[in-house]
Amino acid sequence: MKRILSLLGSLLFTPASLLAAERIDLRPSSGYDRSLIFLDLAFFWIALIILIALIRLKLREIERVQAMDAGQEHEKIPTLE
Amino acid sequence: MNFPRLRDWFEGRYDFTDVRDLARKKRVPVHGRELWYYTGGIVLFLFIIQFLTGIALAFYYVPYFEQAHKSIIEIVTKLNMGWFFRSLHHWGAQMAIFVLFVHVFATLLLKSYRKPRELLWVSGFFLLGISIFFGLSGYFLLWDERAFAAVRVATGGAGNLPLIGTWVKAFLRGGLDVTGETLVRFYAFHICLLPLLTLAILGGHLLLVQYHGMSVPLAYKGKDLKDEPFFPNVLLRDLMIWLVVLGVAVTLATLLPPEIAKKADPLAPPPEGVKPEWYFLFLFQTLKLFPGTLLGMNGETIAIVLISLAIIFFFLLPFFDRRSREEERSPLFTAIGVVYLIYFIVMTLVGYLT
Repeated sequence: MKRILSLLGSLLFTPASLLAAERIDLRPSSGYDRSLIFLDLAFFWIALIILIALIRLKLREIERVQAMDAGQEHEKIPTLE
Repeated sequence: MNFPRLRDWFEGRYDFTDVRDLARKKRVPVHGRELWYYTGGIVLFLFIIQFLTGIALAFYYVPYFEQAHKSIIEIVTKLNMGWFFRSLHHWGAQMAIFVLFVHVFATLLLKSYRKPRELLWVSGFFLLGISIFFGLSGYFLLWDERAFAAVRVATGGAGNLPLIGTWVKAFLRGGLDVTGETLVRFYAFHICLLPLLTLAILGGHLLLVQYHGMSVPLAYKGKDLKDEPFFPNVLLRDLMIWLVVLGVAVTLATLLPPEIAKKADPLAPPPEGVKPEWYFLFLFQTLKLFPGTLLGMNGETIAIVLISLAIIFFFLLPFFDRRSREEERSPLFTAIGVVYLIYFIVMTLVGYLT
């Protein structure tokens, strides 16, 4: 009861501020859309991690080949060609 | 993916021998502080994100004071993924300016500016200034009450510069006060003048990096350092870091989309507790230290003059640091760099927390 009275009181005494509060949804507001966005974000991070792991594997392989060929036959070092 | 026929087509018409040789020969020294080399690449990557998201936003933004605020709301609420592009553009800008500050201070404290790389420092310093102005002009395009107040304060502060202040203020505002004219002007700066300047200076900066190669910190001078090829080793490491940076930018853009305040009203008083963007906080806080009148002069004018002198001194540091030029350690200039860094961090934090 106390809460209802205080709510009514605030409606009576601060109508201007209530009218002024124009809310802008800064991203999709429905629960379904939000959950989809968070799911996409999770997939995005998984894809990034897989990509980083693949690049790291590639880099290690390149460094291994470079270590074997160090000081010799530079033309065999893989480049971005 | 090799595409031999496409490669043959190009090689039959153009000689790529020099470019290929440059790619093969470019090597990067390996040492304990090479992490700082990657900050420049991160800024470059964030600039690319800014260009792409900025182009997407420019298709829908209306640079007219009566429609600017509404067009942003429509981008955010009505366009498919509009909210995400705006948010990514915002966070990309914040991150670019932050990493640019890190890059500048790393260059300063590692003395990478020393002979023969002074022009790299000069071009980098201009890029930092341009990026900050990018931030201010982009913030104003929102045309909300906070951005309006921030631009009024910033352009008013520029107006306190002796001799040229009035002209600078009128040039930035497009008149006596901040109005719709200022919005059109800032839009022109933001999408035309500043990108052109950035491309030109960034191009020169990258060419100078290729020409001089990577700087080795003085602490490693004379030591037998290993090096590694830029293509593909360093480039692949750059790519991994860029992917992480992209992940952070996308996460921030998704979880913390920037607010849009009430539409600006040029006749209304500025909202209470308004603060500039974080990279202006140290200037804002410094201005607060000065009283209204000092030695019979306008305190704000004195503050602006002192800040300008400090910035000019910072800009000219490589030319004063003679010992670094001679490849000797210069603890005085390290201390000066640390003082600048601490001042920047402390004043930004004080401005943020108070």
